[in-house]
Amino acid sequence: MIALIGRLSVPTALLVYALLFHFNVRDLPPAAGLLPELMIALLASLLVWDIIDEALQWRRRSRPPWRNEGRALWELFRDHGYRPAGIIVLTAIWLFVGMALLGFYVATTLFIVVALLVLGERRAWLIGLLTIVAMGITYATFTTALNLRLPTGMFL
Amino acid sequence: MIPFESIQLGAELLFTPTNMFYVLLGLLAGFVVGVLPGFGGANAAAVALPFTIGISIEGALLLMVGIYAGASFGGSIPAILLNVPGTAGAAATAIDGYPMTQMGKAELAIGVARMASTFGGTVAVLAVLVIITPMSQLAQTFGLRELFVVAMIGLALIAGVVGGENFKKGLISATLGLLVSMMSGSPITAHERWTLGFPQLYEGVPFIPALIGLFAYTQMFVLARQESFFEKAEELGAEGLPILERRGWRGSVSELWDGVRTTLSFPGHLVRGTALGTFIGAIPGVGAIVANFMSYGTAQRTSKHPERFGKGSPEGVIASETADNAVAAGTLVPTLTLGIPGSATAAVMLAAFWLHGIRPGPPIISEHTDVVYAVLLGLLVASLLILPLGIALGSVLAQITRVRPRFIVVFTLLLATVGAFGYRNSFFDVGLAFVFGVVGYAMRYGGYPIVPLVLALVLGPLAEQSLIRALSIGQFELLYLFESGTTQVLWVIFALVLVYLSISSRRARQGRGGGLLASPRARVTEQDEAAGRQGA
Repeated sequence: MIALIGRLSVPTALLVYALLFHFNVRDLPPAAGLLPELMIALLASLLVWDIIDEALQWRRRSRPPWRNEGRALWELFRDHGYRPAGIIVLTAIWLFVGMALLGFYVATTLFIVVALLVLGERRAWLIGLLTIVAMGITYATFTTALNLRLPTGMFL
Repeated sequence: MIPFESIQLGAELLFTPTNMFYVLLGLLAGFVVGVLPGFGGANAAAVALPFTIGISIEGALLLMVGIYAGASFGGSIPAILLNVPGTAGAAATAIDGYPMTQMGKAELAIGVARMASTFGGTVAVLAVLVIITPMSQLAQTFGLRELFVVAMIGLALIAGVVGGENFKKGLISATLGLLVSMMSGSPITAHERWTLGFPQLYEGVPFIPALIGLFAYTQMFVLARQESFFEKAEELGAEGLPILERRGWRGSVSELWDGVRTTLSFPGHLVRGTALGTFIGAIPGVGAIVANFMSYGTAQRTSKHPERFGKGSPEGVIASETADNAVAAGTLVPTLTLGIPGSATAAVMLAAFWLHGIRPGPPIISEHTDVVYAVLLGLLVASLLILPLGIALGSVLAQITRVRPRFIVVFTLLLATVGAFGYRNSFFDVGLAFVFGVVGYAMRYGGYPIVPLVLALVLGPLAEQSLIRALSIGQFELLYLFESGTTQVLWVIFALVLVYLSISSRRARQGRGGGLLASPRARVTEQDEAAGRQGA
């Protein structure tokens, strides 16, 4: 069941997106709303077809014996490497929020240290060196060479 | 027929120290990202895009073509040494390149790949230099309705070829891209269309953060799961990275000569590979994988020793690599003449045009002749530079695959985030890049290809404006879209493309061939079987 939910989650989310789009453009005149409505109809049809196809494929396959679905989800997350991917997504969110709040230097330092640690790097000297090198290269490229502004927050 | 004046204008723009520096920089960056399996030229170009804000349009585009040419050759190095193609296009190179390495001929295989890449890239650019002006003149005869149909044909091809066995998922990705591109104010009536209250979206979804998200963020989320770039090689039984000999300048000259002599002893494969690569590259979305495997298959059929293919034949490497670099030149034809990107990297190049205020499309060659020809000549120079730089950096590039993916992930995420911010000094763009990154990752998890989404995002505004303006000319009568002779021919081509892709996709799923849509694995199996049959 977890596998089926996993397979259907993406097309279902896209279908919800298409329907929400439809409710937001349905009252527009044809010159503004015709093409979006055509695309929504096409996308929704393809997604419904895809959802039915995925469900039928899942039904046709021999299903494994019943087991704890929560445990199965955790095993999928752990064994297929989704844990580091999930954590790196969270650190990327931090980089975005952190830069807005604390500025480039503090947010980047924390991002590099935490991301390298969760991805399995244990050599403190290497983490320190890479932090300095990465920040130096970014600063040199953006501020010195391209004359662009680095994000600033409460501190810098 | 050869447009010497235009070439001269392009040469004057290209041969300045600054612009040559951008070509060289792009080429070196392309080498590095090419040898890293799973990174690729399009990702590198997307990360580099915000860095080009502060430089000239020709500088930005020359950086991109350098990356394109460099990545095309760089991808062959891990394919030959580890049986892991650095780029999708190098998959055909691995079929014979890796057996050559197992036979102790790694240096020769890389030398042949280097010479074949140089030949393919150079001759293809020369061909494109001659044909691009007539192609542009033809494109300028296209009206709005023709442009709309051509965009639809391009998108259908991209959805079909990239979607492979699952054409439906490719179509979903392309349609989603078109829909997302319409989250803006209407270009005709200015009505707001679900911009979620963000004024930044009113002029359309900005390409740069979207491309950074879909390429750089998505790929880094995927790479974060990998402990090593060797994982696939280890699964396939590779024993480790072979050490390339460092032989001094005399050895390098001898190595260069070996590669050149072996490659030039198969002129038929060189010419056919270049012609196929240029032609297939010019068809939007079809790209390097198809061209390389078609060139490989043709070389095998025409070879005097087809039984040696798949067992370490230099002919296989020549055929694949010639087509691979010729594709880069071919993709520039629809990109520059119609504003329809021929590949993912070409889509990033189109975004660079928009970034610098130039709207790509049929008039671009007459309005920006110098820039267009400088870009083509830049690709020519980059292709020629592959030969000396490939020799100087061959063993260093091979070592780059030893770098742990985690360092690449962290550094690329940092550059992508700062790059997305630097585009307009806006945290909104960083958030948008992140959202697109998560969407891209989810789509890859669900088996939906990302490239059609990217190309649809780029093509969406062009397609919509062409359609609505054409309809308003025709008093909103749908029949107007079918009235001209050219449009009727184009609609027929569109229908044939859809039918062909649907049938091919179905056949590919059932394991009965599938033409352009057969998966690389199926192609390799077919090649092996063919070689086995001929050997027997």
